[in-house]
Amino acid sequence: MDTSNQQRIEEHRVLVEPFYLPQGNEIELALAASRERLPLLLKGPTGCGKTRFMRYIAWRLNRPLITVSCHDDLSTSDLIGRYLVKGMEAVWLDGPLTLAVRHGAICYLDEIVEARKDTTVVIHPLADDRRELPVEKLGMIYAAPPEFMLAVSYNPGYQSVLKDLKPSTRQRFVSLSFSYPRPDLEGRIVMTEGKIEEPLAARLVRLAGMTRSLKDSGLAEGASTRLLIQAAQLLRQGLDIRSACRAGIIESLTDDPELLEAMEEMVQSIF
Amino acid sequence: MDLGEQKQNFYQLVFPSHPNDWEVEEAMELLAEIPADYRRALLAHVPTIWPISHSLCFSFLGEGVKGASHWPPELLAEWVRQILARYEEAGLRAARDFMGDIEKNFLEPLHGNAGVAVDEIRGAMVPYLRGVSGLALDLAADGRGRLWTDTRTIYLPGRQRPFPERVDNLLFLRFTIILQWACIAEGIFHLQPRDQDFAVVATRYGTGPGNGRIDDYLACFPSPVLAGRLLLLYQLPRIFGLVRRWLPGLVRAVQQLCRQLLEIPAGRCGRRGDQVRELLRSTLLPSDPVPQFGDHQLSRLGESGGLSRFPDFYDRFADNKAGGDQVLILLLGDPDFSAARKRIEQTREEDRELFISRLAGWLEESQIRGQAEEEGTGGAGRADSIVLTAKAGNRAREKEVTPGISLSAEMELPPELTAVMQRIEADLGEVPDSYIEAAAGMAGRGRNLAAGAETGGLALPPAASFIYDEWDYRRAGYRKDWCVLAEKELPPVMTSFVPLTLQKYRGLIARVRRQFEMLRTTHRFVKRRRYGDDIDFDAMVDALGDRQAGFAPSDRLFIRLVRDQRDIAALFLVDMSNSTEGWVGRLIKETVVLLCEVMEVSGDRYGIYGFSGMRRSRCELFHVKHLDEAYDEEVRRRIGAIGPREYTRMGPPIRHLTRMLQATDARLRLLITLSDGKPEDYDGYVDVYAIEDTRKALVEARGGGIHSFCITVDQTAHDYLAHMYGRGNYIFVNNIEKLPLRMTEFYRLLTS
Repeated sequence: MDTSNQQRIEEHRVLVEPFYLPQGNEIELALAASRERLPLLLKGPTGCGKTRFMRYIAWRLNRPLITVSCHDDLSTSDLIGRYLVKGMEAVWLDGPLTLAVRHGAICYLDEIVEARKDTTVVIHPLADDRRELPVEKLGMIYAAPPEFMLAVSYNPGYQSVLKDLKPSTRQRFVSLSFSYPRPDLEGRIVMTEGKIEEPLAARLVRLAGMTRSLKDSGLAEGASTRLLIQAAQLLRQGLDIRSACRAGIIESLTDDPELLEAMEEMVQSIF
Repeated sequence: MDLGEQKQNFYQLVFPSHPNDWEVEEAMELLAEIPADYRRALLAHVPTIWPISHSLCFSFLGEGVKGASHWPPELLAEWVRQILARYEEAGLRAARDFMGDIEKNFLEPLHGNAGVAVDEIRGAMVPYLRGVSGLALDLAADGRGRLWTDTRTIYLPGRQRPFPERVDNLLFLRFTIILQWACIAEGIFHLQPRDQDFAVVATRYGTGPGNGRIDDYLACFPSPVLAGRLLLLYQLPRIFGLVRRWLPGLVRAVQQLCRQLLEIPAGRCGRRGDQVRELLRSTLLPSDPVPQFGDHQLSRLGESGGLSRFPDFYDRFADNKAGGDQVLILLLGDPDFSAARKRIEQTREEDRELFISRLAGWLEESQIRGQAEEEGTGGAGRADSIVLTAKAGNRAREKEVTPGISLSAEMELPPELTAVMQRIEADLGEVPDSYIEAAAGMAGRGRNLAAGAETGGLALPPAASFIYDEWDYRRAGYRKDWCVLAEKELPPVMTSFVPLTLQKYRGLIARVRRQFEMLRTTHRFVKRRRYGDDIDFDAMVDALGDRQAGFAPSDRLFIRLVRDQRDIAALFLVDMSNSTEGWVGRLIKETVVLLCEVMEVSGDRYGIYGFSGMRRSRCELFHVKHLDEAYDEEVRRRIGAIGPREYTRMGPPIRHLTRMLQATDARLRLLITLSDGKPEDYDGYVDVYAIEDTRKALVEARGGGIHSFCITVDQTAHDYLAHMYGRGNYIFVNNIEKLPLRMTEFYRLLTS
C-alpha cells in the first residue's frame, strides 16, 4: 500500500521549473515560513499568479504539491481519506491532506472560502504549532514531518456575506498578499508565457491597467494576468489584435454594453 | 398683496435668519411687478436656495423676475437645479453668470439647440477616460461652450461639428478629452513658476513679484487668457508626446482629422497665425514614426523649470488673432489655470484631512489590537513606535517598490489608506511628516478623550423620538445624546405612481421575479442523512468499508433534497434628501416599488424606511413599511409619498435601524442603504466629519451582527465609499437608469 502511495505522491512532484517572476520578497517569505514550519495564506485577485507561485515554491523546495480545489460539497473525508471496499476487504485510502502529511508534501487548498466552514476546521490542528492530523477512522494521529507545508488561497473580492474566512482559520497563517504584478514584470510574464514580442506585451499590460481602473465604474474585477496571456496566445495563433483582445479579455470581463464599448475604445486607442 | 405683507412672508420663508431690511425690500419691489402665480412659484424655491447662499437667493429672485416673460413656471425647478449645480461647481460668480443669460445658458440647451449631448456619450466615455487615466475624472457639459478642465472634471463645449460625420466628431472629441487628461498627467496645472520666471515677466511687462502660483504668473502677461492658451501650445510637444506614447492607436486614427482641420484656411490671422498652424502641424503630424514602447510609467513633471523661454514664445505669438486660432481652441480649449489651481489645493486639503483621519483611525485600531495581544505594556509609548514603523514602511515602499506584499504580522496598511497615500505621493512626492504627526497626535488624544466623552445633551426630546450619540472623529469620541431622531409617518398619497412603474418595468419584473422565485426554492441535496430520497453512494461505500474494517458503520446513508430556509431580515434605508429631487428621486422610488415586488416573491422579511432631516435636533425617519407589515395598498400609497425633503444625516437612522434589526431573531440581518451621495447636514455635518460618523454607525452595526451595504448613484468622487462601508460592501451604479435592475440583482447576489 505504501508503495502505491509513494507512486501517487510522486505524480505530484513538479519536475520542470515553472516560470515565476517574483513581485517582491514573497519567495523569501515563503521559504522562511517553510523553514519555520508555518502555514501560508495567499490572497489576491483571480489570475494573478497564486497557484503558479505555489508550483514554483514546490519546485524550489523539491517537494510534491497536492492541490485541492475547494467547493461547497467538499467533505472532511474528501480531505482526510476513507475506507473503500476492495474484494471483501476494506482498504483505507488516504485523502490528499493525509497523503501530504504522511509524505512531507505541500498541501495547497485553492479557493478555501468555497469550502464549507465545518470542513475547513480540520486543518486547524495542522496549522498551528501542534502540526498534527488526527485521523479518527484509523485511530491515529499523524505528526507532520518538517517537510510538510500547508498553504491555502482565497480571493478577498467576494461580495457575498456568506463567503469569508473565519478569524479562527485566518489567524493561523502567514499571509502573503498578491496583486497584479508591476507593469514591467507583468509585461515580461505575458511575453514569456504568451510567447509574443515585448512591445505587444507592454500594450496588453497597459490595456489591463486601464481595465483595472474601472473598478469604481462598475467592473467587478479588471483583466487578470491570466487573461492577458490568453489573449497573447490567441495573437500567436494569428488572430488580429482587436479580435484577440475582445474574445480573450474584454468579453470575459463584463456583459455591460457601455463598459464593453469603453474597453473596445481602449483597445482601439492603444493598438 | 402689499409690500409689507410680502416682506413678512419672505421673513417667514427664511426664518430663523433675518436678512437686511433693504435687501429684502429691493427684492420684493421687483417681485411686485410680476404676476402673482409666477411670484408664488419663485418664492417657493427660496427655502431651497436660502440655506445654501443668501446672496445667491437674492440674485435668483432678481434674475427670476426677468424669466417671467420667458417661460412657464414649471421650468423653474429645473432652472434652480442647474443654478445650484453651477454654484456648487464653480461658486457664486459662475452661478450668477449662468443666471445672467437665461436664453443661451438654460433655454437653448433645454430645447436641444446647443450643448454637446454629454449625457449621450458619458456612459462609455467616462469609463474610457477613467480607465485610460487611472484617475477618478469626470465629464460635464460646459455652460459657456468651452473645453477646459479643473483637473477633476473635464468640461466639454457645446455641440461642435468640425466634421460632417458623427463618427469623426466623436473620435475628435475623444482625442480632445485625452489631450486634457494629458495636460493633467504631464503636470501642466501643477507647474510652479520660480522667482526667476516672475522676474523675467516683471521686467518685460512691469508687474510685481511672484508667489509661485501658475495663474498669478499668467496674470502678469498683457492677456492672461491668451497666455493660458499659449502655455498649452508651448507645452504641446510634451502633452502630445504622452498621448503618442500611451495611445498610439488613437493618434493614428485621429491624424487624418487633424490634417483636415489644419487645411482649413487660417483666415485673417496673418503670418503669426500661420506660425501657430505650422507649430501644430509639426507637432501633431510628425514625419518620424511613433516612438518605441518600453516606458511603462507615465513621465511626471518633477521640476518647475521649462518656463524660462515662455515669455519669448508668448511675444512671438502674442497676437489676438493668432492666439484665437480656431484649430488651437478646438484642440486644447480654454484652460482655466486659476480654477485648476484651486481644485488642486482643495483636493490636497481634502486628501490631507482624509489621510490624517484614516491613519489616526487605523493607528487606534492597531493600538487596541496591540493591547489585546500584549497586556501590561505601557500605552503611551506605543503610539510613537507604531508611527515610526509606519513611516519606515512608507520609506521602504518608496525605495523598492514591493506592491501589496507584506507579512501580515508586519504593517499592512488598509487599501483605502494606501489609496490616499498614493494620491498624496503623486501630488507632493511624499507624504509630509506633518501629516503623520497630526494623525499620531489625534490617535493618542483619542484614547484619552474616549473615556470622557462630552455630554452636550439636549434637554427634552419630543415624544416618540429616540436619542443617539454621534461620533466626532476630531476628538475620537462620542458626542453624548447628540441627535434626536423622530419616527414619522408618511402621509399616504393617492397616486398612480406604483401602477405606472409596474407597467413601465413589466418585462424586468417578470424576469427578476423568476430569479427571486428560484431563490426562494433553493433546493439543495444534503448528503449523509438518516432518511432521504435516494441512497448516498459515497456514504454507502464508506459504511461498507467501515464495516469491513471493523468499525460501527454510520447509518447516515441517504441523500435528501431540502429546501433552504432563508431566515433573512432586510431593512432598506432610502435617502430622501433634497438632492434626490427630480429624476434621481423618481428612480429611487421606482427602485423601491420593484424591490417590494421581488421581495414579496423571495419571501424574506423586509422593511423600508426613508430618512432626512435638518440639524441634529431633527433627524427624521419615515416609515414606509415595517418588517412584518404586509405589502398592501397603504404601503403603496406611502411609497408614492416618498419625496425629497431636507438633508442627509446618515448616522442616526443607521443607528436606529441597527437597533430595530437587533431586536429581530433572523439568522442573517441586512441593512441596505440606497443613497445618492455623501452624508451631509446643515450644522457642520459635512465631509470628513459626516463620513466618519456614518462609518462609525456602520461599524457599530457590524459589531451588532448586522451586515450593512450601500447602493449609491453618487456621480462624483466615491472613493469615500470604500472607507465608509468597507471594501466590497457597496456598489456604485454608474448609469442611474439601471438602478432598479442593479438593486435587485445586488440583493440576489448578496443573499445567495
